[in-house]
Amino acid sequence: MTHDEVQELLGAYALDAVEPTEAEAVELHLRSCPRCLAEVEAHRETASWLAHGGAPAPEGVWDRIADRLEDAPAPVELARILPWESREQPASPPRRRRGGVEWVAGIAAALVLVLGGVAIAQQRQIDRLDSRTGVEQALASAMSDPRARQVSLRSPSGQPHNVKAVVLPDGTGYLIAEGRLPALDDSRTYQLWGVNDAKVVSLGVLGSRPTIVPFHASTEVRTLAITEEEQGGVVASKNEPVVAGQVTAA
Amino acid sequence: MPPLLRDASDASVVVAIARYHQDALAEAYRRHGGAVFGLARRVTGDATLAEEVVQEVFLRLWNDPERFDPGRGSLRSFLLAQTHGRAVDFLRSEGARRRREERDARTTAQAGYDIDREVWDLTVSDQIKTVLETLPADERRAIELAYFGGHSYREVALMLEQPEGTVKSRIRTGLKRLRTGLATVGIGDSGQ
Repeated sequence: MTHDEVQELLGAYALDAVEPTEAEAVELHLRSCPRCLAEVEAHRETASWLAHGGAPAPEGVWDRIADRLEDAPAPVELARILPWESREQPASPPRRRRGGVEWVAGIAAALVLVLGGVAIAQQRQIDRLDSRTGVEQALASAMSDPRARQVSLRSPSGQPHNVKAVVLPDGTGYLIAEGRLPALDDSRTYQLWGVNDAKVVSLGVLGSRPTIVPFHASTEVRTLAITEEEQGGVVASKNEPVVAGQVTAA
Repeated sequence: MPPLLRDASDASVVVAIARYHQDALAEAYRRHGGAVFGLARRVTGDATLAEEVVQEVFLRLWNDPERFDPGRGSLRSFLLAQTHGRAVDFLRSEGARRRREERDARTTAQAGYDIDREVWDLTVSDQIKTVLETLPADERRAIELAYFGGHSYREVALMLEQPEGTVKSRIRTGLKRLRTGLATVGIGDSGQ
């Protein structure tokens, strides 16, 4: 389907009024055409005003929704996971909530150590390459490098953000966050951290809507973590990681 | 719950949802649940089905909050687009459409008007109705049949006995015209 043919369909597509095969063709086109994507979003915004409804939702529906939220893992707070890490002096019997979460406590503890006063974090704005294609090519090359170490960053609370990163032997890394972290207000930013034992080093400020971001991590970095911060980032974070993951051997 | 959740932007509410704050989802529901239910009921013509759609839409926001990107539009528009898609899916399942058509025929025969349309009329602001009425009748009808009727543009073309290409084009042109009209009364932005 040509650009013009897709354009003609955009109104109907935004109203879910196209055939499934046409919808597929439009969606394929939208991935590479920001102008058409913006038009679809504008049509949907317009249509949403037609649906204007001031009436409250019927009673009882929220209760049914809330009932189905019970299976979701509860939010993990720093204070609640820290005791798992300090095994020598547990404040209370450690309660393992979920498999695979425990290592996150180490990162949280390490971030807190930074708060303790040693400002070793290096503040560095990521050097974003102008050419997105260049980044994608470099990423593809890194991904196919057999020496590359892979990192899967997950949320301590089990939220499946599934951010990935790849780190080459020389420390060159690429974070793949496209569409995998909730977009933030412009006043907020994500920040990437490298963690090794008690050291936490800023690897860069990622912005409010990170996509594919190159970074550099020393070979000693064992864990990557991402926190949410005020715009511009911070020298040392007080926040628990949004996602974190261990750098596994090549 | 953050104490100022009620004053938080939709984007901040969604960030809180991503952190599993149930109160944040409740806040999103308080803000947009009525519009979501209203649209689902208007499209499906069935309150029970509409309630199912409402549940699906908000559970999906709970499970996949990162799908909402505030840089690409409002939360309301995002939720209503999801709602419309699910409602149309329900409608296009044969049974639902048949039930709706039977009910529509019954309603029209008995009362001479569409009860859902009446409900919609009561909840849509006068400003929006005024803007909608400025559209050429062909464009307005095509948009209404597609959006509220859940019909594909091909079905609309058959119903209006017009060429498919014409209907496609009228839907798109009508939406653009509507956007401009809404902007002139201070609703939405200036558009493109």
